[in-house]
Amino acid sequence: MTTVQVLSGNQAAAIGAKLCRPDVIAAYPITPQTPIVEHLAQMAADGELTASLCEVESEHSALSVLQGAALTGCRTFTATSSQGLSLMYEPYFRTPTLRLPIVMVIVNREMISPQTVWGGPQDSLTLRDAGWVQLYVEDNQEILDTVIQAFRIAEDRRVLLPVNVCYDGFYLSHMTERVDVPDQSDVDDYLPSSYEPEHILLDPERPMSVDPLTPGALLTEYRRKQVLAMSRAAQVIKEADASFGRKFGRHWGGPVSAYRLADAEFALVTLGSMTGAARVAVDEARDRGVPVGLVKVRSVRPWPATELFRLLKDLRGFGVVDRNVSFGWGTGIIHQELRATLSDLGRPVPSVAFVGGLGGEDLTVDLMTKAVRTVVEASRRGGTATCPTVWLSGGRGR
Amino acid sequence: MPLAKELRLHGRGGQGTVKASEIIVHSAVRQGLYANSIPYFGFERRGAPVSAFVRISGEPIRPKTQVYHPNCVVVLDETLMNAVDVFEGMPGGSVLVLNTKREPSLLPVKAGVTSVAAVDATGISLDVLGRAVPNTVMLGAFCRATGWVVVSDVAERAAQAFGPSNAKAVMRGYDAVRTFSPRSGGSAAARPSEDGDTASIDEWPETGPHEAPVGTELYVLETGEWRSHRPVWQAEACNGCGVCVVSCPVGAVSFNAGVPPRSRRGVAVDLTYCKGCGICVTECPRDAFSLVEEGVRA
Amino acid sequence: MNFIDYLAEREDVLSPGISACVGCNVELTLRTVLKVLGANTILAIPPGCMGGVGVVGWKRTTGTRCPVFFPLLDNTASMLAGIRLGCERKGREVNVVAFAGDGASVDCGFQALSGAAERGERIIYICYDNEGYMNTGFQRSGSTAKGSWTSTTPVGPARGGKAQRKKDFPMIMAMHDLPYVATASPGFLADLVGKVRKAAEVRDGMAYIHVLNPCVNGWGFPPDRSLEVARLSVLTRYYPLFEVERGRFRLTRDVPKPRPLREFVGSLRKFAHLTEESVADMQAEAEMRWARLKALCGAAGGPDEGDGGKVGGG
Repeated sequence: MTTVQVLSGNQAAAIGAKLCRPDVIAAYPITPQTPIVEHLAQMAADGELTASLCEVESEHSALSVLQGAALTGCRTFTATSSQGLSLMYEPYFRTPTLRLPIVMVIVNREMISPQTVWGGPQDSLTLRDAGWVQLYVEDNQEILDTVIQAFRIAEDRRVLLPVNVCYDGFYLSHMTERVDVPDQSDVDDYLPSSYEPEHILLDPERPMSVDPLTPGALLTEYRRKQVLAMSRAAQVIKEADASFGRKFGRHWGGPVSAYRLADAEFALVTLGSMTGAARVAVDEARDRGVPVGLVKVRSVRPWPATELFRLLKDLRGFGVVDRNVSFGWGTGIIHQELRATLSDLGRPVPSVAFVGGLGGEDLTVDLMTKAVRTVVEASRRGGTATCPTVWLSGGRGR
Repeated sequence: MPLAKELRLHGRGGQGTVKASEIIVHSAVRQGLYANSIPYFGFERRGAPVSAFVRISGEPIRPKTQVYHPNCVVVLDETLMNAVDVFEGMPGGSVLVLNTKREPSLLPVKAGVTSVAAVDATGISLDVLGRAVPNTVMLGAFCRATGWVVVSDVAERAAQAFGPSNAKAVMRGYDAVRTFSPRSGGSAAARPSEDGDTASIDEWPETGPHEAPVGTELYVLETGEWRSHRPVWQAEACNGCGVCVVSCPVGAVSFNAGVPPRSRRGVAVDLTYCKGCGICVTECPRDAFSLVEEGVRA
Repeated sequence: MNFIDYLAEREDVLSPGISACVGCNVELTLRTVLKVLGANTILAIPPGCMGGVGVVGWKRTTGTRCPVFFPLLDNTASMLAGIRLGCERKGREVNVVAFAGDGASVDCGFQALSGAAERGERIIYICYDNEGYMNTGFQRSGSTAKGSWTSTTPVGPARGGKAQRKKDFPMIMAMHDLPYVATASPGFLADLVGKVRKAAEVRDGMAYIHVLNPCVNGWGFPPDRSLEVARLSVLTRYYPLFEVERGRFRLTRDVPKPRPLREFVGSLRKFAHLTEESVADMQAEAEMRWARLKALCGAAGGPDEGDGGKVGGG
């Protein structure tokens, strides 16, 4: 059924993409994504990968080539990081508005300045409102599995939106660990054999214009349909994960996953690779008798408001650890969105905003333990949403 | 001026319609009034129908939107009436200012219009400016017909914007207006729908080809409606060489049914699309084409 | 077959009613190109005049009888590269064609175009050069002529039009060593038709055709002179007609006795402010570029004195 391999996160992403039998891949190297491009090129050179590779001159062109290929009915894949994603922004926003189910891995890297190459999801989270489905993952197995799920979600006729699979640069991209690699035949069973668009296509057999000039009222109609597709994606993400679980024996919880939350009074909310250290901190706190659990956000877009509300509404307090900054709010992006979710649904649960791990700095078990302690203390003081943001930095030792 | 006034100008790309609307605003502001001018952002091509909107008021003007119920409509090019409903939305008691050689009493005027002001702005502009650019002459006619802004201010501003002879063009337009009051002018013209088209928003089907911005029906504008001049072909002069056929940007010139021998082949112009550019006239090696001024269709 | 009879028999792939300006020779160029290439074509029309006038359609319509789309202003060649790859995957043999303005080609689209050229993408790329951003008025581009008035290089007491020279873009594309590079003009339609047909034959890389399209409104001349001004640009050596087939340069229309450049410059409102000295500078630049081109033709096989065939020249 599977082969056990030791893979870096980038290798896992490349192998996951290969197993989905894409028609066209175009990518431009950038740290820390570069090894993905190298792995794909090597697989092509070795004859393992039959996709057409386009060795483009920029990220802007990488995504543009894929748009062209997707418009002819091809399954497509690319990957990038930070500055490359920024350069891509122009075609990036346009990919979901054209309803093209492109899958793109984002190896999260902090945005400059100051000059940096290390990990953090500021790059993709800043673009959360550009219309892509954005999934964030915790380890290398989840990378591989989620890339496979991503094609199924993107090409689902209820969705037809592009999907990002996001993971922290260096922490996962360059970390090697055990990964179970599924057999090609099982992936072939899980995924439709090809992408067959009817809604948008460039083919002289069926001539149509793509993106004619559109007045505001009709644009509003398209936007609303795009919003509906994004909300349908929430259900499709769950189905894709459940179905994956039945096929491969692993599933990841769909849009959110909870850990030791059933009887918890407090929780940490995390995203991406920091979740592992947070799990350890939660276990240790439990050993000390602190009733704390964990919520890992997997899908930032669509935002799983209902699930998060259900998980958090009865807590006495929670803390959100953000490896990013929402300028103007002074907190992290996930915290800001969670506050909106709970207020919107009439349950202003006390919360503490943590920002840390920026520029690839470690978010250690100790820092996560500090976060748990801060949440509990703030709650006992009757703390509310007005708590100032707690900055986590300088983690050492664990 | 106690009440806000709303104005719509119709012209063709290249006739200075938007510039004219801005001159009205400058003049109103100089009189101590509030005013704004908004161009319609569309396919603004030379020859294509364009419009602009002006509001004038004694109070600050809040709406930054198009004008839907104009108290006055200025038409810089009479042939536009073939293509555009210039009367749309006019409430009762409105003024129409039209560039025409015709007598105002003979003009086909729809409900809503109580006063028609006619002026041969093209003729006057040819006389004063040496070019058929009617916008400043029409500004003079507009001042006379409405009294909303002071003509000397408009003339001064027109001179600043387009050169000194345009002051004269404004004054000639002011003096040359012929007016007529149609009897049927009391009631309002048909109004455009006041409601947005939002009723069906929940009835959209969930998936399918309509989800993406694509087009399948052919986009076809009857660009012949832009034409101010029309090519006329003289069979006697034509040797059927076909230079006009391949030179027409619009593809409106074709060989007509006549088959070879080539010397007997003729051509036909599809006036539905011919924009009247005159390339066929210039390119024809045998001078088989000439341009004549396009009249107003009934 | 005579090119007029050839064109008259071809299907008009472009809508008969698009809102290009009166007398627009870009509309003529596109109509002619599509007649040659036919409806088995996927056409990219980046933002610019042809996009603005409805070639990609308006509100769920299409301006052509072949598949057509808006790329971004700066990714035309990249999207077409993906389309070619996709068509190859699907086993479809199609003309993959760009019809892009100078802004989308020589300025912000150049990175994608140069990259696609270097990679040997099988694309027919046609640049309609009207020497500026005409769809939005007339702003300066890298292809605007030195001295030209534009709305972003206006003429006043302190400045007099664009200060820099026009990018010699066809030459830049030729230096990518493409299978086929050519210049063409709507004033010499037989020549243009022949070049588009050659471009359609290329199987092993990009074919690039540069067309100089004088703009009625931006340049300032009467619409009926649209093709005459285009011819004048060639006959004054301002815009030489040549082609480069696998490195071999060839003039397709020699101009042994050029008309004075003043005839061309003097007929255009955008140059109305130029002094005799500026016109002499332009003349010298045109002669320099002509001499360079002649040298390249000599180096690579010798000039061809043949007549490209102006409209009605037969």
